[in-house]
Amino acid sequence: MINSFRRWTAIAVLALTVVFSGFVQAQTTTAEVVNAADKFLATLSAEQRQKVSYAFDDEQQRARWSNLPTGFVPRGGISLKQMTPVQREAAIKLLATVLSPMGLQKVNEIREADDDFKANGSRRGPGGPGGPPPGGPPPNAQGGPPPGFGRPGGPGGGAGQGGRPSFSSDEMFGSNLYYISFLGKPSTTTPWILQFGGHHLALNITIAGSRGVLTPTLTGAQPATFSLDGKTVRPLGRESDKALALVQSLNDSQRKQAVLNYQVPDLVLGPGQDGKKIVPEGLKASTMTPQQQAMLLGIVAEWTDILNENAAASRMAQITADLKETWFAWSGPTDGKAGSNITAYYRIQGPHLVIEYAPQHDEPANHVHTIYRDPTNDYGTGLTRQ
Amino acid sequence: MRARGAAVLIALLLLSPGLAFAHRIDEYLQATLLTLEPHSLQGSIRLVPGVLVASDVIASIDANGDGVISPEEQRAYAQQVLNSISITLDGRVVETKLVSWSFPSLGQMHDGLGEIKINYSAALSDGGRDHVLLVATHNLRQKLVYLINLTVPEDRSLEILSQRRNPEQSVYEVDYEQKTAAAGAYDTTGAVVHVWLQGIQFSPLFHLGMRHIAEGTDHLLFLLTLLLPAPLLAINHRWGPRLAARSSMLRILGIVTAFTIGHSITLTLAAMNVIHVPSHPIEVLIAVSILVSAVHALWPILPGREAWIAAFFGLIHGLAFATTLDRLGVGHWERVAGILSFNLGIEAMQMIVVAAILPSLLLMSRTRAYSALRIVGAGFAAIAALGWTLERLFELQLPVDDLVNALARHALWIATGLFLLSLLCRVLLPVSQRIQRVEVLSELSAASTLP
Repeated sequence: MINSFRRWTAIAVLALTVVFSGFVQAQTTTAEVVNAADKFLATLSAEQRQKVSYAFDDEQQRARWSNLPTGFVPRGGISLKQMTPVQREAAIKLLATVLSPMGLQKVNEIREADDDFKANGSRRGPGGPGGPPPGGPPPNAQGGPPPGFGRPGGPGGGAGQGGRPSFSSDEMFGSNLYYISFLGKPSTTTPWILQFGGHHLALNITIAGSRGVLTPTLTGAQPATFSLDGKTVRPLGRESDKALALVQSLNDSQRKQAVLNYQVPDLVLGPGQDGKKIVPEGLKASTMTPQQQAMLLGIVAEWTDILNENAAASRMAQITADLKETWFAWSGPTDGKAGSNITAYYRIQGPHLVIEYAPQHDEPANHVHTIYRDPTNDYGTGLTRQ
Repeated sequence: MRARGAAVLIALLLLSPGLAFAHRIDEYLQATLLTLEPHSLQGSIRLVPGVLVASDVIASIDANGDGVISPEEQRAYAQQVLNSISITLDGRVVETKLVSWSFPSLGQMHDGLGEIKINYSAALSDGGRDHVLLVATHNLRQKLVYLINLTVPEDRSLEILSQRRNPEQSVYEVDYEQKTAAAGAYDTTGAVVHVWLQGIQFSPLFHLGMRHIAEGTDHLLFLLTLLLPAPLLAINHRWGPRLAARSSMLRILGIVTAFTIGHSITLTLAAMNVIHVPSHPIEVLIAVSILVSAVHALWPILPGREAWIAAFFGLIHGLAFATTLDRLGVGHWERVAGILSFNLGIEAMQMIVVAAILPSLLLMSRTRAYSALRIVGAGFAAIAALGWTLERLFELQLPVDDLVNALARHALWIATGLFLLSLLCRVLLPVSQRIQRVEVLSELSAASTLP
């Protein structure tokens, strides 16, 4: 009798501890993020601090992001370039806290791609004959661009092999032209938004209590394959490889549904298209095998897992629950192999999800834009309304 | 800033012809989002001229070449874009209308960053269930690339069946189904009736109507109390012998119908905002109406005029129904359809209750025990009505609701018990005296003068 009582007490205490520590864990992560944000803000001058701070509901600042270089579309906040080494370190520390190691690496590789672009230009500019990028396959290795992505007539001939822009590109490209800004005050209870972005990158991270929301977020890269310190870097390589593996795993009738008969020249729901839902197309995940469904979720994880583990797990649980209502559509060639970037467009869409991967026609395999959205929860609007 | 951006860009282009830029270069993107509603289509176009086609696009906008894009030139270009789009619904041409347009600065456009926005709308003709909408763009002068998509319709009655496009997405076709039209106007009565009959029974308002009667015990108590003396004939200010079953049925039908007509009139008028009556006096009058029907069930105060009582107080009950009906839509037809749904819900619930109680009344009325039932029932109703009247008049807290609701919670058991009891009475007790046919006929003629 006493034994059994003790046993149950022990189990109850254990269960409570697990539940409680889970709770504390979630709280700690937000607290850590807030702590890192406060530490960064503390390094700033009053003037800088004012520059990075916006009201939580500032619609204009929320939407002030783009795939374009910051020289064309100025961002809010201050750039890494405008920071002292101490400030920069604190900013990177903040990113490392709010993002997963994978997410931080992706962000860094996108920035490094911009350095490469600044140094080498495009290997195959429009009109230039160009050569294959060093250390990578030719961009058209996958059977040529999709229908309609024909080689454009370019701005004169000239040396295609990446002329080195000698002036002003300092203001246009480079890994230090990425801006940080805050909407609302960092807090463990009231919602706030951390923005970090520049050319080919826009992270909009809403933090509301223990919840973290990454939508809308834009990633992109040009070059999408480059070499750095002797290693080949593909910032969005897994996005390409995993999707290619899924489309190649489809049988004929699945492929007939998944592969659209028309070209998709750009993102449908890119910058400025917040909260819009389009009628989904392609192959429904409910008709996929469990293995294919797992592959689909694996692609999605390339976006959800940019955020740290806590936020990513609850987001993935939501997307998994929506799986039967999730669609996969593809436009462009389905041949090719892992390791070289696809030239095809794809879209994954569910009740709470839009992912688009859109190769850009100037260099389809080497220039890509992607978007990650939750039409019901862009900037955490779904959370903060509750 | 703009000028500098353009200068940098042009310099980069000149110095490094092989350099690709992070945005469109030699293409002119036309991205369209369509929004479909039951009777209209909205198109929202974004036009993004690439940096190398920008000057060509600007030239076609700036028709007089004065380097300025005037409001007239903006409008003309927007119209020109719209003219390049042809829309058909089920093979018939649909007229489009410009709604709004906005143009970026010349500098932005020269940089290849400008976005021209054009919104248009089109009225879609009514009727029918299955539709094919086709949106085709005939190329403008410049080389265009297209995106066209349909937003998920907000109106649940629209179901998108399939979409087709040509490889360039310049021709887009969507098959859709218009399932119900409760949310929109129709001009053909046939279509309205057809669609309503389909839509009404699924309407949440129908269920609201049913629930309102099931939970609004005062309405039911009024009606049931009024039905109590229906199988009887009044003689010399007293309830006397029973009527034939057929006559009783007709009378009950008359009372229920009269109540329905009464409350439908005021419900519709109030819900359409024709009349406004404060709810407090209505609540008091409803309690009084139960008292009147209870007294009538004890002593015939208005013999043979039950239908008139039902109709008169129905008018008052209808006003009370209208106060719960605050979630109607804004459209005229939407409101009418909503009222109809709600009212049918009320009728359906009323029918269920009457059908459940009718056999017992008819059976029991053939025995002497009916007097006991009538007096107990009417007595209970009178007490409840008195309680409600006092409560509502003087804003007192009496346990009337608790009492009535406690009974109402066991309504099914009470109805079943009553039926068994009436069967028992019918078997054990001698059949009561029945009135002569001649008298019934004269009585009936009085009862059948319904409103």
